[in-house]
Amino acid sequence: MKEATDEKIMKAVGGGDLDAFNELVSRYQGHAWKMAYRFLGDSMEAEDVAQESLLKILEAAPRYRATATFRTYFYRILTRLCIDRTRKKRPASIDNIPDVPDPSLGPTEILIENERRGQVRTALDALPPNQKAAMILRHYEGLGYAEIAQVLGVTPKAVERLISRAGASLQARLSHF
Amino acid sequence: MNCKKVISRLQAYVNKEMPVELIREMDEHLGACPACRSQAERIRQVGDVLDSLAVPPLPQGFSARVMAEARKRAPLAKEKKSFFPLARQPLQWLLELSAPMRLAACAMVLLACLLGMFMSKELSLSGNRQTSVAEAESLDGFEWFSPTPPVSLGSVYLTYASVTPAAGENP
Repeated sequence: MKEATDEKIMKAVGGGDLDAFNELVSRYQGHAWKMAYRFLGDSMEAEDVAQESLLKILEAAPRYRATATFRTYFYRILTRLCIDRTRKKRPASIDNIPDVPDPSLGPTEILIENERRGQVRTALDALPPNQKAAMILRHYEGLGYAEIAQVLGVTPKAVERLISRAGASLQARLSHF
Repeated sequence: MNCKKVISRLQAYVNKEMPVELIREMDEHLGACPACRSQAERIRQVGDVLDSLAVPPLPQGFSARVMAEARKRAPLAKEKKSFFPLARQPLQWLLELSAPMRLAACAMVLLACLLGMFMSKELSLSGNRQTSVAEAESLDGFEWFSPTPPVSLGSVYLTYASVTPAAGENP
């Protein structure tokens, strides 16, 4: 099971194999959590969306067809859930940003670092959902433009425009760093 | 390549999302244009700033919670599947075939339909629609359609009844 491809495991999940689903969870839970957290900026919301994305995969498994890679399929579900959640909820407050202090930093440096993170968070939250999704998928998850295009259901050229606009907007807000 | 074009594609250049020839052209332009070069540098800096956005570790017991919820939902899905095996995905088997096999399956169904139509037409044009029992019995093996097949109890009775009793013999 450990060496099997995601697509093969997904086929087994479709047949009702919960051990196979457990393997998928262990492979993708980190991605689901990080992407949801970066998108939503709130631990509770992020955990809820990450969990829901994995359970949606379980429910959809009997109908799953490997027309794209499983990774693309997974990010498509996760991204949709993140976008839907932002539309329903108000933007995350920067007060929700937890401190993850670097032990090597002093108190002043930690304050500056937190301030910096808060501004990055605000700049990301100011982006329209599609630009934000494209930027997160590219910068943090390391997907190529072609794969992001499949995730968002747009052309690679449109992804380039989305990322370019997001980059310009972030640059305007974070230029003082 | 002019500055306007270079600036419009700078983000893709920094992300290395363009053909090699175009990257070479951009390199040439950036080597000669300080303004575009500093813009590319700013894009890289934004990338570095984005990296500072830390993510807390995955909440403890996350996968256990997911699996517990999965176990709750999985039996329902199985029950539905076994109760309405065909209603859920009536043509699932067809969808799972490769494209050529799917085409072959459709062709076979079409051929079977055409053959059926052709044969029924032959029958309807054959004149007398009701084949008599006698005609049927005259065909090899069709005596089994008779009310008294050869080795049946009825046949034995008829044979016995049709024998004329000898004189002075009580039936």
